[in-house]
Amino acid sequence: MFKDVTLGRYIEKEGPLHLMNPLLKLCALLLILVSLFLSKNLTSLSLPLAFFCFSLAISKIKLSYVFRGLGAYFFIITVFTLVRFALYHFTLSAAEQAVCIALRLILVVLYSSLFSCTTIADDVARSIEILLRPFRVFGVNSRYVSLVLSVALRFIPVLSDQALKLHQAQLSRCGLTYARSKRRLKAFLSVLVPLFAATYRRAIELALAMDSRCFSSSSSTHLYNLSFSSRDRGAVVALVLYCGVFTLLRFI
Amino acid sequence: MSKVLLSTRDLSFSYPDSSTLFFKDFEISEGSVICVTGPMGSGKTTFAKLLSGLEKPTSGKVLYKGEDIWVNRSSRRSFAGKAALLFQFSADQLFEKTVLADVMFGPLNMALDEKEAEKAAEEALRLAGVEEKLWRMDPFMLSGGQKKLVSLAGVLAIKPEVLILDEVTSALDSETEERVLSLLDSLRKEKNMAIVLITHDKEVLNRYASDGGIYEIGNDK
Ligand SMILES: Nc1ncnc2c1ncn2[C@@H]1O[C@H](COP(=O)(O)OP(=O)(O)O)[C@@H](O)[C@H]1O
Ligand SMILES: [Mg+2]
Repeated sequence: MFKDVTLGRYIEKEGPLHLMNPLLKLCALLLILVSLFLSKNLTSLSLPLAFFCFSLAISKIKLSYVFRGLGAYFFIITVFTLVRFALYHFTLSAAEQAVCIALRLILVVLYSSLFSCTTIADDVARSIEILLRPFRVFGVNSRYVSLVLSVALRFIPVLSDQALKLHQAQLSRCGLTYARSKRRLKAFLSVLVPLFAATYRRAIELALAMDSRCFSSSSSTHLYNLSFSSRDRGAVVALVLYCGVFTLLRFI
Repeated sequence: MSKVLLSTRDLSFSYPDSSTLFFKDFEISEGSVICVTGPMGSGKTTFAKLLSGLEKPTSGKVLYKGEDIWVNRSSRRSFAGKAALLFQFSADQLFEKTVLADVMFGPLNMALDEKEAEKAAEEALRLAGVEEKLWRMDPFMLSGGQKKLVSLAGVLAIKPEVLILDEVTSALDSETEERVLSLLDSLRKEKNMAIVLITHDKEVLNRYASDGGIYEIGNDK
């Protein structure tokens, strides 16, 4: 279970999504997420679903990899759906509603995983930074904000790695295997507190590591420049098409 | 002839999205010591995790007294506590709020009550040579070497038959290193414990070259 967190992990490949301009990719992601939350029925959800299949197909990321990350969310989604049914009467339209909501959540996770699989953290940070630039007039330091966000993103896998390590630490001393059931529960709960303590220590180490390599928010330069290629033009066309079809679907 | 405790057959392991590591067959019997060595990144730590049952092999078998430990849940469960691993990074192995509580974690899982567990823990702490003034401290406040000794106490407290030590000497000063190595010798001779010693250290390798085997990872495949 702890091995299966895919959100926030980067996978080294040479696919078209990897090579796409990250700023454009982020805009595309935002656009798609907005469209997901505007879709109220199965017909309009079919487009984001089909588009996801298309993006995954060209991305060179394994299907099983992106889906593995869904495991933990299935639990939340199932509970959520059951609660809904418990609160309202079961009708066909309520069932469709529930399926829509679940599908929407799943697609949000899938799209975000695909984005983080194909984009290195530094590119994510820079894209967010550029998007936030207009807010400078309100005194927002966009470099800081983007840094905080990208570090947070990078911490999701750190958290799951840490949980895996703790699990192994307990396993190495007979935790969770031959214990009586009460101690088993206790051992599991005892993972949570040290998990946060360990993550906090990791955060401090990360801050020190960045300091020791001269990070400051004002004058950092970047290794690569963001460039706009013919491939990105293709992506823009695809996105415009996506918006067009989406608007059509909403009106039928 | 002494009994074979742990052995492996055609073992291989792959982490998600990375290449597969292969391990040649391995065997260790009661009261013996085997040094595992190899260049960094060759899979020594992975091998240690496989041997102690923390990771499940991608293919091949880990056998305890001739029985595959991964056939089913109950075989894996009855393997718990037989082979104990001391992690390379001991900070990863400590998680309780005090040193004593941490060492007690194992004995408590082995269905000892609070009192007996505390006794077992104190005994293990003394054996590992952790000073008494550190027992009530937060394990994370300790130095690297002290952490190593505390986690050593943690695995000794469960009284394993096979003790697997992943680079135990690397964080220790030479005096403590000598003490730990002679502790291992006495465990081997008096308790008939089998010891797997993962190390780069030429001196350690020379020391055991004569009376134990050397298992090399990553050179001749
Ligand atoms: N959690 C992990 N995920 C993916 N690959 C890993 C992981 N841990 C180790 N590896 C890879 O497995 C190989 C062996 O690692 P390890 O067993 O730690 O080597 P050693 O202890 O001999 O230095 C390395 O190439 C490393 O990159
Ligand atoms: Mg190692």
